[in-house]
Amino acid sequence: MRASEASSGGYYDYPVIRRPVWTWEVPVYFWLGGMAGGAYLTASAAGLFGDADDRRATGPGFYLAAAAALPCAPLLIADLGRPERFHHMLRVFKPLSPMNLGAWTLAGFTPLAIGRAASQADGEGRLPTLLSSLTRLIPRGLLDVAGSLFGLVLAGYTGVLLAATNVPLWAKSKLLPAVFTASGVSSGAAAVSWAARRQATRRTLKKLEALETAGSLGELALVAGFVAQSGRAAKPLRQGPYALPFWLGAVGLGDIVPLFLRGLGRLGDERTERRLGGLAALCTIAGSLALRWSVFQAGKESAGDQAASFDLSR
Amino acid sequence: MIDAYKRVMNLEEPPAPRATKGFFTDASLCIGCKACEVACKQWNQLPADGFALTGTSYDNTGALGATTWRHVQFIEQAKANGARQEQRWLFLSDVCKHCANAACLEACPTGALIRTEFDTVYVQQDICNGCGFCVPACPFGVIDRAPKHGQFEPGTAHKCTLCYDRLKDDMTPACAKSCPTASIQFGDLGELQQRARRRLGELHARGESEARLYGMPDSAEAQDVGPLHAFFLLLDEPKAYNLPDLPRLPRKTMLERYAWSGVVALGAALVSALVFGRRG
Amino acid sequence: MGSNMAENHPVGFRWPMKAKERGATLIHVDPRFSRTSASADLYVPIRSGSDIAFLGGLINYVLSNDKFFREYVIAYTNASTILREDYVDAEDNGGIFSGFDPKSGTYDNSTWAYAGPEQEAKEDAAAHTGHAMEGTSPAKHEPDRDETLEHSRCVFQVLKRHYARYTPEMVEQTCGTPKDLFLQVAEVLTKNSGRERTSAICYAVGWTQQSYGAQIIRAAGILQLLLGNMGRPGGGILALRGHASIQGSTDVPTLFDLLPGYLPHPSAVKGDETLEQYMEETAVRGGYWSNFPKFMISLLKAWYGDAASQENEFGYQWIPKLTGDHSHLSTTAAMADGHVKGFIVFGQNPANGSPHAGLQRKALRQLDWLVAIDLYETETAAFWYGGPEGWNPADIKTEVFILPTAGPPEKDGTFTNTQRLLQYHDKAVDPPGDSRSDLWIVYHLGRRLKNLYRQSANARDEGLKSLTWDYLPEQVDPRWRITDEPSAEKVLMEINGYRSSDGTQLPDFEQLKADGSTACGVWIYSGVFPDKNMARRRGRTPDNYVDPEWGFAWPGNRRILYNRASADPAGKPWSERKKYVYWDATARKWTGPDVPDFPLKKAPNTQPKPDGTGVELHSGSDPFTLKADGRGWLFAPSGLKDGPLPTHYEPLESPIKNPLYARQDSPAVKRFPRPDNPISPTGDPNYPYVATTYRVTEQYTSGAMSRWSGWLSELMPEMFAEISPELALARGIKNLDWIVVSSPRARIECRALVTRRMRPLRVAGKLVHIVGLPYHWGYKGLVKGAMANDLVQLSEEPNVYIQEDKAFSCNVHRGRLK
Ligand SMILES: Nc1nc2c(c(=O)[nH]1)N[C@H]1C(S)=C(S)[C@@H](COP(=O)(O)OP(=O)(O)OC[C@H]3O[C@@H](n4cnc5c(=O)[nH]c(N)nc54)[C@H](O)[C@@H]3O)O[C@H]1N2
Ligand SMILES: Nc1nc2c(c(=O)[nH]1)N[C@H]1C(S)=C(S)[C@@H](COP(=O)(O)OP(=O)(O)OC[C@H]3O[C@@H](n4cnc5c(=O)[nH]c(N)nc54)[C@H](O)[C@@H]3O)O[C@H]1N2
Ligand code: SF4
Ligand code: SF4
Ligand code: SF4
Ligand code: SF4
Ligand code: SF4
Ligand SMILES: [Mo]
Repeated sequence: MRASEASSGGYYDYPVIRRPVWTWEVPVYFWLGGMAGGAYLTASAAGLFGDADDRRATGPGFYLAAAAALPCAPLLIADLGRPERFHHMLRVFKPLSPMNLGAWTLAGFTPLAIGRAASQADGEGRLPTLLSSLTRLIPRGLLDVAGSLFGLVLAGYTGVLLAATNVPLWAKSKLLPAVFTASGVSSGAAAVSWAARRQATRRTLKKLEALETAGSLGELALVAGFVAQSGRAAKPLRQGPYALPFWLGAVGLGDIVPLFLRGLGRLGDERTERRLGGLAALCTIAGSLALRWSVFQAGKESAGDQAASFDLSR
Repeated sequence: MIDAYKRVMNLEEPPAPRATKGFFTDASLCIGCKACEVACKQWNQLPADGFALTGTSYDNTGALGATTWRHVQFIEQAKANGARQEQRWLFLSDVCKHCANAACLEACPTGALIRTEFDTVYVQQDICNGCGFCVPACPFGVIDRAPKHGQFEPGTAHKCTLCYDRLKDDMTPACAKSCPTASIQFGDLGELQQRARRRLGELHARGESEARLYGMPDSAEAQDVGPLHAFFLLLDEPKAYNLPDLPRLPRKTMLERYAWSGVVALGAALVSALVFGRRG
Repeated sequence: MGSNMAENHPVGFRWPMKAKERGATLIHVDPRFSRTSASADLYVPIRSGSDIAFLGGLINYVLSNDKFFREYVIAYTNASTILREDYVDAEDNGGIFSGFDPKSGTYDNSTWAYAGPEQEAKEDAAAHTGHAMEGTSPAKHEPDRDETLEHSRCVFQVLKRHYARYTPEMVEQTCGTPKDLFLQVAEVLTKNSGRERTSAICYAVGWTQQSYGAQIIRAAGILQLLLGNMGRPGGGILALRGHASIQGSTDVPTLFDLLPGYLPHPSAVKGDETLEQYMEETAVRGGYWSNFPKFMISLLKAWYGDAASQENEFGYQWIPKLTGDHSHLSTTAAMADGHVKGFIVFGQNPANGSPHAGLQRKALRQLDWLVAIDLYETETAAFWYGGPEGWNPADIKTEVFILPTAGPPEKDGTFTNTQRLLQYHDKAVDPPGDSRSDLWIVYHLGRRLKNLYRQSANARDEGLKSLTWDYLPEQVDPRWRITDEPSAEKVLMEINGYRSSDGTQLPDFEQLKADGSTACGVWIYSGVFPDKNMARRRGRTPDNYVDPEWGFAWPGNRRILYNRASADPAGKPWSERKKYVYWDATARKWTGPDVPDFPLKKAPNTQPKPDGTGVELHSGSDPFTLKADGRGWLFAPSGLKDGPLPTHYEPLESPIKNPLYARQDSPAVKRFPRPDNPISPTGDPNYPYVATTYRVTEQYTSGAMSRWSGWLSELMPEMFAEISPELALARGIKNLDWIVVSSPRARIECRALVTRRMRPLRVAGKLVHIVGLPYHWGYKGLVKGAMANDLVQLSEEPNVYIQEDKAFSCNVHRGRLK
């Protein structure tokens, strides 16, 4: 019997809050957006601070950023209850709402990423003359800085968006946005590193790897903090259908396996190293998706947990 | 150009503010007749939500939602402290609280959720694009998005309008009008609050020591979300009615979270710069 | 008691809630802890079917602790009246009163009479029918009395002896009500009654639907008279009635044994051959009923108009005479045996709402034709293809016609509510399509029938031919599509009555004559349409809380009946607090916020006129004007077929032996001993639990109306049985499990709702479980489910022919049918 004397003292076992209505498009968008931002940042950093080798090798990062950014808006729109009214998102400027801020950010980042990718293509002599002369007008340096900024916001706001709810798993810990930012950056770096795995010099690769390793380690630490802070709210991450994707996928595949692979690679020859490095990068990318997806789903699950809701609002 | 934008985006001048209206829902007067639920559905032409027995006392509604804007709870208690009766059956008609600081409204990216001239919180159906953000933002589980492919206003968010249409014509909201015992009292918020304090005093004097108000201006629960314009008199602790002790306003937690994400972003930028800038 | 007011009369329940706010104590006595119990100050559990033991216990408490309102009791009740020597009380005869004929199962009530001079007027009219015409012989207007209340045969002493064994312990034994709770009720009730305070008792079908329902209400009447709670503000016994105008339906009425205004229907077996014989049998000398001939002849004039004359007994012979019991349930039994050819159901759903619904459906099968006049296709209209029997429609010979009818907003008319208040409502829209109002259907059916028989020379068709039938309005209302709608106001005008000579409306029933000069459709309603439609009134009277200008309360716009009793014998209010109707010595008339229910100028010290008639035989301090002796009846010398004093019997099916008497159940109940109506014996181990049926707020009666509404159906979507956790444990049932509930009549399946609100009671030393069954589901509508009425037996309470669906035996099992 679902009695009122249920353990948490609430009303039978009815949830306190409503279950989020979002579907798979949202975590996929979060993943792509984060990766786009991370890739843009990595490529920009290499461009601004790195040497010519770095620049050459990480150039495709801008293509990746643009490619990852492009499906974001359609995904977001697809998830709307009334997709034909997507433009209402830009009806007002209301940074108080992370969703509104995100919409403006995406609206800013996407053209930047496309522009920067075009500029990159031009640099590589891949554009027809007419377009090429147009793209020359783009101030690359400014674009790098602005795009990186937008990209980082894009990677991180999604975490704030989830956190700015009353869903226990998303809202309890202070670290979810940080986790998402870290994951965005490391998956972005991984994407760039994967694209560069054949052509790049060893030194560039090493730099990218260092970045990835920092990302993985940082992410690991943040995830640990996140789970610890979440307490009861993280129950669906500890048991049930989302535990495996989270621990094996997001943490294992996303962070530990790449660390391990890169360590392993250092023991082998260069080819193996490049191969394992590429594999590690793919793992990071996949792990990043697993992270978004499992946290997203587990969050929806925690919305039904009456005790976790009471715990959150004490 | 600006005019065109305003036209495309449905931007209109808001009407002039009027007196703050609200509900005082008094659980000690509720007889659980559900007239309010039905009246709300009828006035707003909301569809039925399906026909299933829940087994949770006489509550076959379960929760508020996109097509249920009043919900009467049935709490069966075997023993009650201090009460004269050996057992209690508590009723409460739950509704959108029309929070002074409304989480749903703050979350809304389109401005579909607005504060009306009556100081109530209202979803403009022609603006809402169904982003769904208000749904988990609400600390009380009130607002919800109608199914995308359903019959009723598909894909947009819904909740109690505090009968905005009726208020415009100086009519009492349908639920309050139908309540036979005046458990739902509608009126000017300030006056309702005074009435509620008086009522609480009466109940305490009668020995109903567990009676309390929920959502009054100076209360703990109003700390974040502000006074609830639809507030309640409860006969047990809020939890028993599935009401959070301290409803959270997500906005108040956002800065910290942005900061943490900023720190990581800054760190990431720095590390990247350092990694690539490293010579040798 | 016997009412779940918060759930079934929620709008009216606002007043008890308001009273509670003002300090009143609300007590709910019910087998289940319901929403009413939840709002009450005190919930008192009781075993279904044991109310007389409980009320008898209260009566005993009041008498033995000297808590009665002595002055009131002596002056206004028949407490002092002395009974005949040959009267034998049930107490001294194993639970049976004198006059019982075991062969026919009926009482001859002659020994229940008052002692005193012989009576001039004729026999007991109430014996014609169950519906008592009050105050008829053998209740004499001038009986022997002993105002000291000490005479051993005076009503007071008889009463005391009758209830002496109804002690708190016995109540606990019989009702399962804990003694301390019972005593709490007794204390609250007695403390809150007397000069300064009054208590009211509300009841509904939790009392009536028992095999001794009328006696339960009688018991409440005795209690309230002893406490001085009758005819006074805040007192009384309030029947919370059912369907929107069910009160109107009894007044007008739709009952087989009554003519309009509670006049007994002439009977072929009682020798009512001529109008004179009938009137002689029915007329009485004492009390207001002495005006009976005026009511009857005015009624005949209303029906037959100019065709009714002194010469043809005002058309009396055209009224069909009763040949026996033609109540709904008896007719069902006859129908099941193939004795009924055709059946018109007007807004009723017997295939689901009536007891032993399986038998009801079986009966419908035997018909040649069935006309269902309803808003929906009900279970009754769909019995031939939809029932749980799974009959092949090809095997059913009954031809079914459905006539769609108009709902209340689609027609004009009055509602008469619980308070006898008539309120008129106007049509708001035309009914859709072919739907027509009931009035339209009846009117045009009558018109066509009259047309059909226009040429008939057959004497028995004279009545039909002579019937006045002119209800079409003078002018067609241009707003409506339907132009041949009869005028409901015209009907109301005929009900009110008019002068036959010139057709002017009568101001009230005081003007009625027995000479054919007046016509009146329902005498008690006279005054509703004197010159204008009083039922239309919506006037508030700020300084008068009874709001006399709102609607019209019969009789004569009185809001509280017998309100003379709100003043003491000298005509002064019993107390300032409870001031209501009183004698204004300067104006020399009765006055107060309400219309005095007493001859307006009859002074309190008026002496009875022994050679007079009617109320002239009463003194100025005899408030109960309809009674022959003008007194409230603690002891009922006539009018009831099952005894002069309420006596505890067990329901027809009971888990225990009657703890009070050798007689197990009520001797006068009409049973239908037929193979398809088995009754389980006392203490039957196969059916060990007590079943009771009832309503929930969210659905309406058989559900015919509410189960088509999604908004209501979602709130109570499925048939369920409420059982206690103890019973659930014993039967291995969990909340929401499917269970099978069985009685000797049928087995049904539904879901279990396990709740602490149901509790087993310790009765006669054993634990008795109660199974609660709402009766709202069926096989039509948006939501469907089993019918509780499949389980109920066919039986008739002898006075009002009602079924016993509030207490019968059942069993429960986990699982489903088949
Ligand atoms: N919402 C709603 N309102 C209605 C109706 C409806 O169907 N739905 N129906 C209308 C009609 S037609 C009627 S007649 C009225 C009826 O109104 P009620 O008489 O209030 O109706 P019930 O629910 O049948 O029975 C009342 C109570 O009697 C209790 N009871 C059962 N057995 C016994 C017993 O032996 N002793 C005592 N003391 N109590 C017992 C039941 O547990 C129940 O709580 O309601 C009217 N109002
Ligand atoms: N077991 C059990 N059985 C009971 C009871 C109980 O407590 N327990 N209670 C009994 C009581 S008190 C009652 S009153 C009966 C009720 O039993 P029924 O009267 O048989 O059942 P209802 O569902 O009320 O049926 C009323 C019908 O009238 C129709 N109707 C509504 N308005 C109009 C109208 O204006 N004109 C016409 N022509 N039709 C209309 C509705 O659609 C509906 O089909 O049930 C009785 N049966
Ligand atoms: S209760 Fe929820 S939906 Fe209502 S105003 Fe507050 S936050 Fe918004
Ligand atoms: S679903 Fe509609 S109302 Fe809710 S936040 Fe989005 S746009 Fe605003
Ligand atoms: S105020 Fe209006 S919309 Fe809100 S619950 Fe009441 S009836 Fe429904
Ligand atoms: S209408 Fe009033 S009494 Fe009935 S359930 Fe709603 S709040 Fe309670
Ligand atoms: S159904 Fe009608 S008559 Fe019955 S309580 Fe409700 S409003 Fe009153
Ligand atoms: Mo009824």
